[in-house]
Amino acid sequence: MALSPTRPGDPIPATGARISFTSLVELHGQDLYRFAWSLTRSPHDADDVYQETLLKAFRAWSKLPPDANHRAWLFRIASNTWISDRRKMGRVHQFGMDQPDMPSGETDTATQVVASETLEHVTVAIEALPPKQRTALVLRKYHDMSYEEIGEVLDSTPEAARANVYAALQKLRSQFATALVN
Amino acid sequence: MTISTNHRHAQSQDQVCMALASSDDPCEVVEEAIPALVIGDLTRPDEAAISEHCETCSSCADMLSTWESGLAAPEPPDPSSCPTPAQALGLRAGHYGLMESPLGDLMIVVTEDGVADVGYLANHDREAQFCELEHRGILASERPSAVAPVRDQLQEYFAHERTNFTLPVDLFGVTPFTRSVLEATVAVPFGEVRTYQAIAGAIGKPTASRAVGNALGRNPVPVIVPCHRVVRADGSMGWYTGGPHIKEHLLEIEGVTWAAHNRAQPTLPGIG
Repeated sequence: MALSPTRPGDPIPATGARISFTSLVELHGQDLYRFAWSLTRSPHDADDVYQETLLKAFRAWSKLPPDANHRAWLFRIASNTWISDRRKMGRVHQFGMDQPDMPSGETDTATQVVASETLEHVTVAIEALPPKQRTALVLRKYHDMSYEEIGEVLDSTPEAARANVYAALQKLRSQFATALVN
Repeated sequence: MTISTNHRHAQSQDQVCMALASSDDPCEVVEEAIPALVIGDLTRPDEAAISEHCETCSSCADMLSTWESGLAAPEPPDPSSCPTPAQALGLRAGHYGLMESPLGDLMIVVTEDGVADVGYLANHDREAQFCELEHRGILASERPSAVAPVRDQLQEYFAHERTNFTLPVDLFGVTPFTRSVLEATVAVPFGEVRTYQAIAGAIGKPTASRAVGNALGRNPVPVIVPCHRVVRADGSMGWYTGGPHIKEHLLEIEGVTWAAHNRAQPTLPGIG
């Protein structure tokens, strides 16, 4: 027997009201896992980020102001968890401009670049993006977030969020350009 | 060449269209705009203008294709490999479903061990019930099929077709005292009532009738654990979580009637 969505308890608002953690997870759990996967691109690491995020969120849930953006709050915990985990694992050298594994225009054998290699380069390039840029790009591209919401995740202004996305695109562009020129 | 970051007003200004109209090198305009296109920052006319250009320009079409492939969403892992939230949090997993009843809408929660919760939605909203479950260490997700056996037996009970429930009950997270009270209450047969004092005696704490009342007020599985069969020694019904009208309704189903003109003097078969 199905009850209409206007029954008591429905609809569950995304913001502006105190909801249970159960409903928070029901609303955003899958999206959160997809975000963890997009960031890490590794099932094992995605599970770790997802579980750690849920644990931190569960502990802090009662202290969150009811009018907070629940999804942005969850994603911010996930993003910070991912960055922190990477640092702990000693991958910090991959952040920033120092990208030793990146192919460059000078060293590529121009005529040998093929489409699959291009994609591989792009994947490497995405993984080598500074964490805020990568997070911003993932949120914009895969989660269709507005720059306002990305700013909430990154704890920055919408303008800074947009700048992060475009800085990421600028870095990726050099990879595409290298391949396409060839 | 740098990617333009001034697309913030792109939704109201078709910048690519305007640039194409005034440029001698359309490829340069399109190449610069493709990254904004693939992340969804362009207006529809701008998107259409780039598509139109790419139909006749293979190098720009290749570039667009490369960007789209390069930024395609990574294929997610098998969803079944994703840990459930309850697993992630180390909590007991439950499933919930809703049902309509003569008592109003009910939310039923089951775990692998049995019925963990039956809630009157008229009195507590769903969020309050989820919070109580979380406090007990149970995290529920919606799965109406999981509660079907409970729903069926409750419907039969409300339809006077069932006098006892053959469902395991999961009292996970309930305090030991409340658990002992509820276990003693389950033993009260259909159609009979006991006093709070009698239940207190049954658990070996004859002076704890007030505490028994409080424990029954926290019964997470009403109807199935028949706290409605426990009444005051003076013959009045006593307090009930769902409201006295629900307690009266349940006792009426079981043939225990209160005289309408004197609710404090019920006909109480089998009072103990």
